[in-house]
Amino acid sequence: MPRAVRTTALLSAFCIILTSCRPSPRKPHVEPDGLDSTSTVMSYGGSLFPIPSAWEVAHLLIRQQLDYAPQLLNPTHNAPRYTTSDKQALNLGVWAADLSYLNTYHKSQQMVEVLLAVRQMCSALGLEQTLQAALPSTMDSSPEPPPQTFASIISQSFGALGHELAQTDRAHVGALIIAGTWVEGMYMLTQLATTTSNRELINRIGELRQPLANLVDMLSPYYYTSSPIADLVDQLLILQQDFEGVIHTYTYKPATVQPAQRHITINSTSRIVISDYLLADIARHVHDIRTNIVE
Amino acid sequence: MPSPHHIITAAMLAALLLANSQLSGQQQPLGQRCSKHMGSEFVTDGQEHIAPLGDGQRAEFRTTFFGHSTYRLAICSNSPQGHLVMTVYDTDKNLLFCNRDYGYSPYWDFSFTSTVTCIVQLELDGPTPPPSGTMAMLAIGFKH
Repeated sequence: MPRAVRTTALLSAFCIILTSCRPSPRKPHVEPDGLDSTSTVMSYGGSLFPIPSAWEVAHLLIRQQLDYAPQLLNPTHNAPRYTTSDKQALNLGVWAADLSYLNTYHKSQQMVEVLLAVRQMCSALGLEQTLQAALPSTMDSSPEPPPQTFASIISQSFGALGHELAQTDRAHVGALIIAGTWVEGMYMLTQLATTTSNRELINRIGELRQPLANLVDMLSPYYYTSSPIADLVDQLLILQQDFEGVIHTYTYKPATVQPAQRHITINSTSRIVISDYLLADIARHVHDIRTNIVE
Repeated sequence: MPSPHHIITAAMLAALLLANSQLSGQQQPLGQRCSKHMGSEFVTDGQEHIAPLGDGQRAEFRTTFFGHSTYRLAICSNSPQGHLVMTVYDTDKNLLFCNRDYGYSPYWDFSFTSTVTCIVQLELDGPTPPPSGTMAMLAIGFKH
C-alpha cells in the first residue's frame, strides 16, 4: 500500500478509535490566568527532571537500520489481565512506547491494535474523555498528512492525560505511565544491544544513567502509596547500582551558534565505557522489571 | 481531481478541526502557548515541565540530550511583563546558550554531536520581581 494512503488510513483509524468514546460535553481546558500549578511538575530540591521520550529510542533504532522486532512488544491480548490502576497505568506507558516503535517502522495495522489497547487502559482509568478531547486543534487539514502527524497526536494525547491526572490529584498515575514508557524503551534497547552488540545502542544505555536517576526521583514520593510502586522503585534502585559501574567522560567544547536559523550546535563530547558483563547485568535487571510490569 | 479517499479524509479532518475550535476562543493554557513554537518537525516529550517563578526564583530543569539528535526548546510564561530568559549549562556549569543574547527568542533549536546532560534555567528579566503565581514552562521537542 502506498505510504500516503497507509498514513491517511491509520489516521482515520486513530480518529475513529478516539471519537467512538461516549459523547460527553467537552470540558474546557482552561487555566485561570494561564496558570497551572498542578501539572506534571517533577520538582525535587528546586530542580525539575524531564524523562526522555520513547521517540528518542525509536529514532535511534531506525537510524541503526535494525530490523523490526515484533517480539519486543507487549501483546495487546494482555490488556484484560491488567485489573489494577497501577498495572493499567504502567502498561498504558508500555504501549505508548510500543506505538512510538511501530510508528517509526510504519506498522499501521499493529498500531491500530495497540491504540485499541490504549483506549481500553484509558477507559479503565477514567481517562477516555480526556483522550478524546486531546485531539489537536491545529491538525493539518491536508489530505495527505505527514507521518509526523501520528507522532504529534500520540505525544499530545499522552501529554493531555498527564495534565488531567495531575489536575485530579492522580499525579502518581501519570508518573507510572511515564515509568512504563521508560522501562519499555530501555527493554527494547537492552534486548537489541545484547543480541546485536551494536556499539551505539550500548552507549545509549550507558547514557541513560541520569534519566534513570530522574525516574527514581519522580516515583519516590509515591513509594508508600502502593506496594507495586514500592516494588518498582526498589527494582529501579538495584538498576541504579548497576549504572555505578558505567564510566562516563565529558569534554567541553565551545558551541556553534547560527542566530539567523535560531540554531546552536553543541560540540561538547562525551564517552561511555561499559563492560559486557555490566551490560548483561543491566539487561537482566531491565528484563525483570519489565516482566513484572507486563505479566 | 482529488480521489474520493482524499475527500473523505479531508472532510474527517475538517470535522476534527471544527470539534476543537471551541478551545480557540478561550484563554490558551500555558502548554498550548509553548506548543505553538514547536512546529510540525518536532514531537514533544508529552510532559509538561512547569515551575513557579516567584520573587527572584529560577526554575531549573536537568535533562539529557542525546547525541546525533536535534531538539527544540520552547519557553513561555503567564507573566504579561518582563522577558523570559532561558540559559543552558552543561553539568560542569559551562555556559552553552542564553536567549538574552538573541533578543529573548522564545524557542531555539539545539543539535548535539554527542550526548550531553544539561541544566536549563528559566527566569524573568524585568524592572520588578515577578508576582507570586508566576509560572514558566519549558517544552522539549525531539526532531522526528
